[in-house]
Amino acid sequence: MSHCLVTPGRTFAERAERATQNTELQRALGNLSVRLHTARMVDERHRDWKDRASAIRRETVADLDSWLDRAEKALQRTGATVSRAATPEEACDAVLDVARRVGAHRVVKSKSMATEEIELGDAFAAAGITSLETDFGEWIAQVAGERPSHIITPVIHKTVDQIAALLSGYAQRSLPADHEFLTEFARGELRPHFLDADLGVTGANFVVAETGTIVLVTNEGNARLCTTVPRVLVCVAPVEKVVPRLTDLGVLLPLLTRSATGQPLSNYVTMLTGPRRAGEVDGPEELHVVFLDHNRRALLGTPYEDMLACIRCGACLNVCPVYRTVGGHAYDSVYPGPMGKVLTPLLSAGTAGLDLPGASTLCGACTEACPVEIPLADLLVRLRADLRGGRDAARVAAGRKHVPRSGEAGRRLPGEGYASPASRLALTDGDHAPNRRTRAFIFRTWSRMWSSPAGYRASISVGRAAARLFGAKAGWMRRAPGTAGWTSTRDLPVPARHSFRQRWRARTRVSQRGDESW
Amino acid sequence: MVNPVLQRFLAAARDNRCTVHGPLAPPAAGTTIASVASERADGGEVAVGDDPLLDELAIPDLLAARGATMLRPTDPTWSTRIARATVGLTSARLGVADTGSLLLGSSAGSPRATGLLPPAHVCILRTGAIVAEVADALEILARDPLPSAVTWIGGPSRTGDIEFRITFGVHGPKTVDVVLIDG
Repeated sequence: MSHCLVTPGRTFAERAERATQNTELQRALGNLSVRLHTARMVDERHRDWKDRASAIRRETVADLDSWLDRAEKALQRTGATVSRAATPEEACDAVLDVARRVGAHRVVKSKSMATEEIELGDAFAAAGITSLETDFGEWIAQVAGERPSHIITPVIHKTVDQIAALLSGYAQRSLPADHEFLTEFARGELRPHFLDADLGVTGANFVVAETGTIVLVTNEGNARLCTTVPRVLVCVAPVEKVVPRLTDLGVLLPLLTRSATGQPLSNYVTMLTGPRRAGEVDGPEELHVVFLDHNRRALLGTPYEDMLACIRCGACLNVCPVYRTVGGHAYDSVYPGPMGKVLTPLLSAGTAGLDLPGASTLCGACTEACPVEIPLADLLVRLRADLRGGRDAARVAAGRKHVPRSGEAGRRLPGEGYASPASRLALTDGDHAPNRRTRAFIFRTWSRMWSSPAGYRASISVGRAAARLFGAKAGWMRRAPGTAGWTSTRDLPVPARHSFRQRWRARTRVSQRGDESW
Repeated sequence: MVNPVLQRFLAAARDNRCTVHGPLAPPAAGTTIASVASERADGGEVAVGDDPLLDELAIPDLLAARGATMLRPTDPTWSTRIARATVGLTSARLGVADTGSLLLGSSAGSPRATGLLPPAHVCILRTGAIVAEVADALEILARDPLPSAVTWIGGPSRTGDIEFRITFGVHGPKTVDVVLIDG
């Protein structure tokens, strides 16, 4: 990995801790509040759009292979060349093959999470080809040698002061911390590279199966430049980007951009149907499309299939209390936030991001914000169980066929829990057999106790007495035996002297005497 | 009489930071287009498409009368000169009231770069070509084979990449003038 880790640490818990102590990062993350409400746009059509968009995405995913075949045939009819890549390596090779064949030396890229996922920038560098990120934020991240921390706004983890300092170093002169100035500076720096480029690389927001049309949703115009000036264009499209019909975009486009930035539609939407045609003086003479699988199709028919409906709007990141507190880099994953916590273990077939599903409060804000109704919180719970149960995600993804792990990559280290809160709870720490047996005993006993009213009452009485014992003086319970990890970040109020049941009984007795005053 | 679709388009285009002129009847529209373009050109070249509408409005003559030099895609030096042109003059196939979008289709006479490389974009739109919603525009597009590129344009190039503060002109045109024509 050539990207430097902005928020270092071996586990999510370690990185999150550091992120919360980083005052500059915390200042930058404060800006996220302006995007809090984009997911709940004020528009009477929203409910209807959400229903229709969810239906379209489910229809596509339910028959993905067939829509993919149709998209491939339609693309070929337009004159595009299509290849399919099972792995990130194959996808990089497909792009590099094109670059080498056409003798490309200078590549301009528009922002694409798919190309981040396959680490195409590193592949270009290794092949001695200069590739330039041209999205403003993505370019800043590239200059900083960092990975984007948000799927829509790559450097939201930085303040304008930090960006001015960074670009001053790049320019070797002092640039003011002024948004307008830095925008103009980027224009001046990047424009010559567009005019000079011999290969353009983009992702795809949608690929229309019916017409073979690649759809790019942008605001800045760099994707327009990448698809207008260079002689050759390569689009890297994850397989689930396919949509059946052009008219489906009537719902998907407004919903995507409203959820992403609150705009009724993004500033630019580019729809490419094949390479330039006879007589045209610009646009790519060659158009190549690389469909990326990377364990996506293995999710079909599993409980995780819903995740393929994701349209990458970023709404779940913006509303997530964890993301808003720690920022994107703490996830140490291309895809951060709630969608990233689900996607990362799945795409890696259970070899990466195993502690991410636990990095959640399960508040459900992501599920509520999702414009295509992906039950993110439910998927997180399911992933926790599936990963903890010793079954890796790939096995789940592959319809419970056994997928052998290669080496130790898939195995967690002892003490490296999935859930940062849960992993701090001594009782659930690690997956050693003794811990597992203890845990099983405790949950079995708990279950038995709470299965009868008498058992429940008895356990509550004991619990309340114990809790009062530990926190009676301060009014707060700050620690309890055996739960040091958990209580180190949590204080609980001491329970009331009398339980609700006791008070209810007392009240009933009082009211029988005709006195309602208490 | 107030046309509600037109009113929505005007409001949305202004929200997108477009400067809207008109709606104007054809002869007056030609004069306005030429004035706006030559003013924005500021002595530079005006890249013009080979769209029949531009000729119907006598735009080439009107521009020439204002001393503006024109660059047309049939010019053999087009590909080197387009990078230095200061205005791109295009005509939109469709407009969308809900979003203020202008839809441009690429063709031999309408290169993609015209409304992209020059710092100022002047776009002509017939009021009769404005539809209510994104879905309506897609229905119309779906009727015929698509051009190699359809570009939906809201307004000047924008970014919110630093602290979500919106700034204009990072890559594409810094200004967008929309001249509405009756009919």
